[in-house]
Amino acid sequence: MAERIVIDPVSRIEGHAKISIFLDEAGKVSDARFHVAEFRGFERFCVGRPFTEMAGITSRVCGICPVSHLIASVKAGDQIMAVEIPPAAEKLRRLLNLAQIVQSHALSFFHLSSPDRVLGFDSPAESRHIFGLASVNPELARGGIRLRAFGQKIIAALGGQRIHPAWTAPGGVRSPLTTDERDEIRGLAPQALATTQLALTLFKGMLDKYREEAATFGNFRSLLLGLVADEGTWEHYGGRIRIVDADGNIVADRLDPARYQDYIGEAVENDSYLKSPYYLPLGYPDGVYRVGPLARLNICRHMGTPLADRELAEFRQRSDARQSSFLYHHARLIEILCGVESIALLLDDPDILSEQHRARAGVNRREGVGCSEAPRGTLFHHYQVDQHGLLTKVNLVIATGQNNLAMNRTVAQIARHYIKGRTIPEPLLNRVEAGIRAFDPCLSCSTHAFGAMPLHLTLIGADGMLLDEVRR
Amino acid sequence: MTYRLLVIGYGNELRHDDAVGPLAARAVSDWQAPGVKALAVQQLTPELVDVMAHADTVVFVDAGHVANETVCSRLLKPIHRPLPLGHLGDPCELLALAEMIYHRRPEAWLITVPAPNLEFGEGLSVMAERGLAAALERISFLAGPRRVGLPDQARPFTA
Repeated sequence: MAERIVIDPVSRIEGHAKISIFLDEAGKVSDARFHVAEFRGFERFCVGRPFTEMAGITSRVCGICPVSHLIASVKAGDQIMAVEIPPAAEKLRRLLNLAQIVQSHALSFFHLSSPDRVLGFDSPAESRHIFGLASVNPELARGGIRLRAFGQKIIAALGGQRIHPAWTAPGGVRSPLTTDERDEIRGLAPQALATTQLALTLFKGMLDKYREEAATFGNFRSLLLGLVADEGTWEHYGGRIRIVDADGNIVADRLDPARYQDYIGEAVENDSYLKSPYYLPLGYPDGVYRVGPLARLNICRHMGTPLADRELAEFRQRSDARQSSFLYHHARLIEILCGVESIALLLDDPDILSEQHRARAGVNRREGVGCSEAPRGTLFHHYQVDQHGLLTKVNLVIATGQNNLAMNRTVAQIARHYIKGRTIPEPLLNRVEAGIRAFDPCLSCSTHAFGAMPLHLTLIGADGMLLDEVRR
Repeated sequence: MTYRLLVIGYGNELRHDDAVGPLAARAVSDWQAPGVKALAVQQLTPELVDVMAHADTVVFVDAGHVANETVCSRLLKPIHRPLPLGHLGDPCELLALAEMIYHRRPEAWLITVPAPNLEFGEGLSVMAERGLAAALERISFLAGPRRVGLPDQARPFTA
C-alpha cells in the first residue's frame, strides 16, 4: 500500500511548513514534498499602491531579511524612474546588504543549525536549541550573538532601526553614515572577523564527523544560479546572472536580471503556496537549480577579499562542494567572512559620508525589475506601473521558492537513506528537518510562533486513512 | 561599557498602544542620565543579551492586558526555554541566555502597561498614556539616586 509521512510543522526555520514523504507499494520512498501552508498575498494587495511605497511595504514580507526586499524594491524603483543612482548611494546600499547577509547568516549558522551539529543530530529534540548549544559551547553562542549584533548595528546606523529600516528609496538612500557611526562600526569589525574565523575552524573540524550527512543531505547534481560581478567576482548587489552546472561548466552567463522571465519559469503546485521556479530551457521539473551561499560560491571565480578567497580555495578542494546541500553551512560562514572584510573596506571609502546620495525623478518607465542577492539567494522584484506610478502588476521571485525543488529532492534523498521499512525512525525526523534547515528557508517570518514548535508526524495510507501518528 | 540601569521597551509602534514600550524607552533615553541606557525595539532578540550582560538592573517595558487597568511590575527570574525562531523571545528567556553564556544575571523587572487599543495606527489611548506616565515613574524610582546615585535633575518624575 502506498503511504505518506507528514512532518508538520518543521521547526527552527523562518515560518511554517510541513513535509510529506510518499512511500510506494514496496514501502520505499518515491517522492517528497515541502509544503508552505501560509498565504501572504503581497503580489496581489500591492497592486494599486504607488511604486515608491513598495520598499516600505515589501520589507514587511520578512522580519529577518527586510533589507533584502528593500534593496530589490528600490532597484526596481530606480528603473521605473530611469535614474543612475549616485556612487555614494550604491556603496551605502552595498554596506546595508552586506550587514544583512552577515546578521542573517549568523542567525542561521549559530542559532538555528549549530544545535544540530554541536549537540548531534540524534541528541534529544528538547535540548537541541540555543540553550543546549550555550550549555555545551557558550563561546559559539556568544559568537553568534556578536555577529548578529555587528550586522544589526550597521543596519540600525543606516536605517534608523534594526528591523524594517525605511532608509533606502528609489533613486538612492535617505542619508549617509555619520563619522561617529562609521568609527563605532569600524571598532567592532576585528572582533566580528575573529569570531567568524573561529567558527570556520570549528566547522571544518566537524566535517569529518558528518560525512554521512554531507553525503545524504541534498547531495545531487543541479544547476546553480546567482549574480556575479564583471570579472566573475562574488556579488550581492549588482552584476549579472550566471548559471553553472554540477561540473562547474558555465551554462549561461551575463544574463540580464531584468529579463529573468526569458530563462526562469515559475511553476505552481496545488499543495503549496510556495512557487517552484525552474530554469526554463530545461523545463519543469528538470530545470531544478539552487540559489544562495552554496550557489554563489560555485558560480564566482573568486570572493574578492583575501581571507575569504583563501577559504574559498580550501572549500573547492572538496569533491562535493558543488553538490552537497550540507555545505550551505560552510558556504554561509565564508560569506560572513567576505561580508565582514568587505564592510571594513567600505568603511574606509569616504563616499559613504557623502551628502550626494539620492537622485530624484518621476515615472519615466512603466516597468522595472530589481535584483539582488538576499542571504538565502537571488531575489527579483518586478513591477509594472501606470503613468501615475501606481502598480498594475507585481511579481516577486524569492530565494526560498527558487530552492523549493531542491529542497524536495533533499528531503527525498534523506528519507531514502533512513527509511528502511514502514516505521518512521527517529533519526529521519531530525535529519529531514536539518536537511531543510541547510537551505535556511524563509517562509515569511512575520507569522510568528511562540514556544518550541512540536514535531507532528502522521503516516497516511493511500486510501487517506491515518495509519500512525507521532508527536513530540 | 557597563550600565547601572538598562531599559528595554518593546512593541510595534504602528499598533497604537503596543508602542508604549518603545515610547517609554525613548523617554528614558531623553533623560540622558549617566549609567542609564534605553533601547526601543520591535521584538526581543537574542543579541540583546550582550548589552543585558553589562547591566546591573534591566527593566523591560511592554504593553499588556487591561484586566485591572493598572501598571504592573514584576521581578523576573530566568526561564530556560528555547527561543523559538531566534528573533523573538521572552524577557525571562533572555535572562536565562545571558546567565548561560555571559554568566551574568542582572536584576530584572517587567513593567506591563495596560493597552486597550492594539489596532493599526499611531497614538496611545488615554489609558496607555496614563500607564506610560506611571511606568516612567517606576523606572525613575529604579533609576533614582538611592539606587544608582543619579543626580536629582536626572529624575523627571518623583517616585
